[in-house]
Amino acid sequence: MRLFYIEWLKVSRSRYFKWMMGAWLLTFLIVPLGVDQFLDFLERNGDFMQNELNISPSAFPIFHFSDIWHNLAYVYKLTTVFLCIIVIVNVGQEWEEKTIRQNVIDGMSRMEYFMSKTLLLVGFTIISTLLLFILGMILAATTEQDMSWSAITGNIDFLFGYSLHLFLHLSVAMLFINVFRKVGLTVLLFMAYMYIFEPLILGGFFLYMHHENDWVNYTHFFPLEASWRAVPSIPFQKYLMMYVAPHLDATRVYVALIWTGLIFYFNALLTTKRDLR
Amino acid sequence: MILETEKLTKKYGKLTAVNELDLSIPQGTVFGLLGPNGSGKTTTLGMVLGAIRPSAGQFKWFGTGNSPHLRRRIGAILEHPVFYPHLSGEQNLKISAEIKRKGKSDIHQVLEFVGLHERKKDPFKAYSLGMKQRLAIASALVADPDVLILDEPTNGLDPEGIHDMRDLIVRIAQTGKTIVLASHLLDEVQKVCSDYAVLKKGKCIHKGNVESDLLGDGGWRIKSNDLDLLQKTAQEMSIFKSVSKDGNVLIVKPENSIPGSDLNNAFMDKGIVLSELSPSQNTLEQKFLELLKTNQ
Repeated sequence: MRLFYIEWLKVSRSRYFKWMMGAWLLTFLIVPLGVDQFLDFLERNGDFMQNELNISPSAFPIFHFSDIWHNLAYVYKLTTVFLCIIVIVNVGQEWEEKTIRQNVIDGMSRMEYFMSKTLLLVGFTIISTLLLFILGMILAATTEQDMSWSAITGNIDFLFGYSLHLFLHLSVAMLFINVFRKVGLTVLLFMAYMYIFEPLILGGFFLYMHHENDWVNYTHFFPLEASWRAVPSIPFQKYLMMYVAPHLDATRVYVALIWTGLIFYFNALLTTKRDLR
Repeated sequence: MILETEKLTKKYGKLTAVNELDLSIPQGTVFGLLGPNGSGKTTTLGMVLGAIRPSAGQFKWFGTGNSPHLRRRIGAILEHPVFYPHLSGEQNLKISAEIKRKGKSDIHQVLEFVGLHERKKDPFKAYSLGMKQRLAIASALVADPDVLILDEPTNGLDPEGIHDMRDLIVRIAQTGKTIVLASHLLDEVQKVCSDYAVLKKGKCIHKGNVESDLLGDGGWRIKSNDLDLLQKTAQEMSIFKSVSKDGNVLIVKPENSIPGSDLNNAFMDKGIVLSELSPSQNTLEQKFLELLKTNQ
């Protein structure tokens, strides 16, 4: 708690922290409205669905318990980037301002310092997952449906997948900033890695591999891809009668957990073994 | 001993920044760590404060060890004041106090001591350099440490700021705390330190006591209205083995030790009234330059 309190003292008065958290919260709350608007749009323009298949998009059980945890976990992965930037700025400023060195001089052990930053990641993960749970409950309650315990917890394992994804992503962001130690450069490199480098390599694999299984087997061995895949499948495909994983995939969870462990180790190594000059 | 180092070494590739340094700092002293730029002062302090990992050797705080909980008994600033720029002086001290596990016990007291109480709510980034240095001292003083380590505390300060900082250090020394002061401003060290060590290329080339090392060699500084006449007269007097000019003052070295009153009388007998008569003393600067020269 002491380490968490120290971390809170550091960030609570920070303007960037307030802005980024505000932007993240806003996005968090806006997504369900966006989904509603999208369904309306489909309804207005979905001639094929309504005329040929006689299905109304608003009839999709997006916010119903059988689907909601998977849907939310999948969509909210998109907001992870805000928290990644907060982590990069937070840890990076400690390197740039040399406050990490002063913390150690003041009597904090390097491991305590590392744990205080890890606690920040854990805090983000817990709060985010909790908010997603509350949001899911509210959204589900607004639709007429079964609110029994078994219905609520039916596929709640997707929330665990989401928290695993979030923690792994934040850990990779922390690894990037621990390696490069410059906020601006790291934000650029992290974005490039996340949105360009890994997807390009995955694209290469996709072209090279002849069987879909090969592609899947290789690609999830990249850290961020493993993180994305902690919540498997695009859930909305089921509304087009395509197969969607009903629960978390154990192999993917293991791969993500192994990456989490490895990155935790490298982050600890970079924080505790380096000279703080 | 407050701090003892034994063969403490730091290498960066082929460069040896600190080379088998043996140092002992007694309790209750104001200890000056001297050396030209790049002599290894900051690296040495970085190592004993846990920020830099030694390549070899060891050190002990308070005769016991070097664990982080012992560092909580030390207040230190390395190189320049380091704080969270968006936080106020008070909030920054709160973080230091929390790290030292002392809550916010004496924050207001130390802010008062360094004269920053009025500006405690201002963000650190809005402080002048002098205020930043004073906040750094306040942060070092939080939780009532046994030792204070100040690395170049007057860096970048104007003459008034330097004077204030020196005054602050003297006031802290009067409370009985051990102070380690790393500086290349020799005048500053001479004025506040009791003991000192000189580093050169990572090695300790001299350890000593400021007062005894700067004692003169029995010479006297004398002055009168007519310096040329004074010099001519002194040269004619057989009691002096050397007579030299130092600006508008004459430095005379007697063959044998002679009291000031006898010296005054000797000149009175020659019809010269001395307007200044004081024992000549070495400066730390002279001693330092001499040491560097002999250790080349």
